[in-house]
Amino acid sequence: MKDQFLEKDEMREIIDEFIVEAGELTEKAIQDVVVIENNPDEEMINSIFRAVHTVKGTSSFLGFDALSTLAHRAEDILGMVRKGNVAPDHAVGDALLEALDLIKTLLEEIKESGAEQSDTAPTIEKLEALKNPEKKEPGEMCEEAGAVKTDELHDVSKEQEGAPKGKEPGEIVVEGKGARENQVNNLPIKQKTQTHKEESTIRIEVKKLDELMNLAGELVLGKNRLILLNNIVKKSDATNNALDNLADITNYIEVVTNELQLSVMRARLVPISKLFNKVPRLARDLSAEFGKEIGLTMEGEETELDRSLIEALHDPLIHIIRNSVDHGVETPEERARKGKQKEGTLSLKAYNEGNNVIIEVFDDGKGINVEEVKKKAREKGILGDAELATLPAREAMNLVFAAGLSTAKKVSNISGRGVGMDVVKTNVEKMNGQVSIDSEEGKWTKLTMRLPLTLAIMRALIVGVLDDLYAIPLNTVTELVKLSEGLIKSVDKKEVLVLRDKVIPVVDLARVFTGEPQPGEDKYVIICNIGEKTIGIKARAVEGQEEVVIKPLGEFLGNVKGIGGATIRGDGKAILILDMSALVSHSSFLNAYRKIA
Amino acid sequence: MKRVLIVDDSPTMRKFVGYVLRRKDYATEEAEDGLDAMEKLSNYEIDLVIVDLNMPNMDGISFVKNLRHSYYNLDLPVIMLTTTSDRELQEEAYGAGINMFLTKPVQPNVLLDSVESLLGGGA
Repeated sequence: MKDQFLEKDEMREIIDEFIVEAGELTEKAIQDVVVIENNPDEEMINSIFRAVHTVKGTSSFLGFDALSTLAHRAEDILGMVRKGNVAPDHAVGDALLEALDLIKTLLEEIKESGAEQSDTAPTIEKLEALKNPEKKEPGEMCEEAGAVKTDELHDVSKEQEGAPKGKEPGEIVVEGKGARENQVNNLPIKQKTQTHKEESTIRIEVKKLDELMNLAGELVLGKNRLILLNNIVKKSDATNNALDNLADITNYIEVVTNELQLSVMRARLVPISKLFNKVPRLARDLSAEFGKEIGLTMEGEETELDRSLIEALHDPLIHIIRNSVDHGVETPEERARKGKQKEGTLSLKAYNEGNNVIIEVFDDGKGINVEEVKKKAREKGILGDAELATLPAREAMNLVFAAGLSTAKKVSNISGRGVGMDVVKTNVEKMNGQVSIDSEEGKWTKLTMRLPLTLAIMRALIVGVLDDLYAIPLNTVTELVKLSEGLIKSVDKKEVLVLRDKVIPVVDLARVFTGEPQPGEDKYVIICNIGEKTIGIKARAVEGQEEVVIKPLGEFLGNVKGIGGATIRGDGKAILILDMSALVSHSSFLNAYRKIA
Repeated sequence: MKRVLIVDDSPTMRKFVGYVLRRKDYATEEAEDGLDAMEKLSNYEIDLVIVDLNMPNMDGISFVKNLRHSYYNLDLPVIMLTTTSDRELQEEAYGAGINMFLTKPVQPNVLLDSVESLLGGGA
């Protein structure tokens, strides 16, 4: 009937809307279920109930019967939780999560093939089984836990009847000192309501935003050319009146373009909570899998980041957290032996620092054994004895990011899938980010990721090496040193620059790119900071700062070590953008590379 | 042209009801919960409201009660459209001041007939 009434494409549009809506509701409900397991917040239970209720209603109305029946059963359980007839414990959480996961799968199937395919019977059975547990009063639960004896409970019941304000049985048990307070704490406590701020948003296809971003990028290039032209013309004729106009317009276009580019960039920013929201569920499942007890804290979920970065961060972050739970945090027994709190802490923090977003993952587990890492590095031939002896502890720790170095003694089914921290590093560097690790053995480990706000546009310093120009990402540049004779010294056949008592290794790009020393005089050293490291880069000329639009090198050239991409300058010529992280590893592991090469 | 306010927290439902009504040349406005609907009512000339029951912030029954508090909205026709067919809730809704109770899933022609009957004559 409704199909005849509405046009086919109208129906299709309604179903599309339904898939998006139900998907979002389900995703949110999954996050909330993990929360109510530990903290049965009334408003949150209501919101899960509403979500499942809506999915049930709309799916039945669109004729997706399996989906609607499944949602209906889940709604029944949630209704009982809401009324307080069922406590939202782990068993309930497991069944609800299974149901919600299945709902997501069914939605995926509808999206792909237009019909539900998965079998919902086993999940529905689990939900049904939860429906008929014996109803237990809080007092009964105290009794079962051995906190109070049955006859004490009877007294309590009487007292409750006589109590003026109708105290809860649990409350009275505590007052009478029959049970310690924390024994009653696992009974539902009403916690402060977490209000979810509703954002006023509209949905835009990512493709459309990408197009806008591309256009803004092209406009930046156009603006650069206009500035260049303006400068050339001004030099040739400084008296012409029309030229003042050109200068005005150039100025105007520059301001507008910059604003436009910023706005488009902001439109692409998404709060990192999109990513962090998945962590509680992950931590829950991983703790169960590895028999760990983990308390999770998260900070700065509102920090914004380009959406493509959020997507690209997903896998590395999951891997890092798996690593923390698997190899970082000890088992409760081990922690007790060490005199630590039984429950390990895992905390995630995100914040802005200048034009960067910093993400920290901290755990108070066993930390990194530096000697172990060094031993592994020696065994795998990543570094030789000489380098290892002089390597500072902090840098040695960061060897965990080197390919082929896994310090975990036992290979677990997750952390040992053949991908290690080197993959995390590669992924983060692909985003023009940096990753580093710090730790105190036996106490804690902190992994820090530093990411740019956006991938598409950045400020760069344009420098001359040999006869070509290169762009160095400006966020890594700390200062420029003009070279005079004797400033660069040689230590162990490596060039270094001593700057205010600090020894900085110097990279000779001409040599890196050609493989041999090149004649000619370098006039500058550009000092760059990458993570914990500082290096100097020799240059023949420095052209100045410029906004560059990053273009990938394309499949033909692919991954050239040390080159992060290319850009087109105001004069229409293409120049290469240096990949600083790659250059740093080049300078510090130079010998290792030589061995391989 | 008669204007109908559709109040539902599900965009899918709003879209569906919207399509059905616009097919018969009704103009439509949408609100995602009771609070939002109160605001829309003060900003638009609305001839009829179709409201869901279970919504965040302000549910359907509270919305209708609030609505009927105002002298100006005493005669504004309200249809409650919801998945529940619970008798008690139905009575509570009528008590709050709705004019008609419809159960989802609703057939388009049933919905249109109901709207038409309450507005007396077409769009």
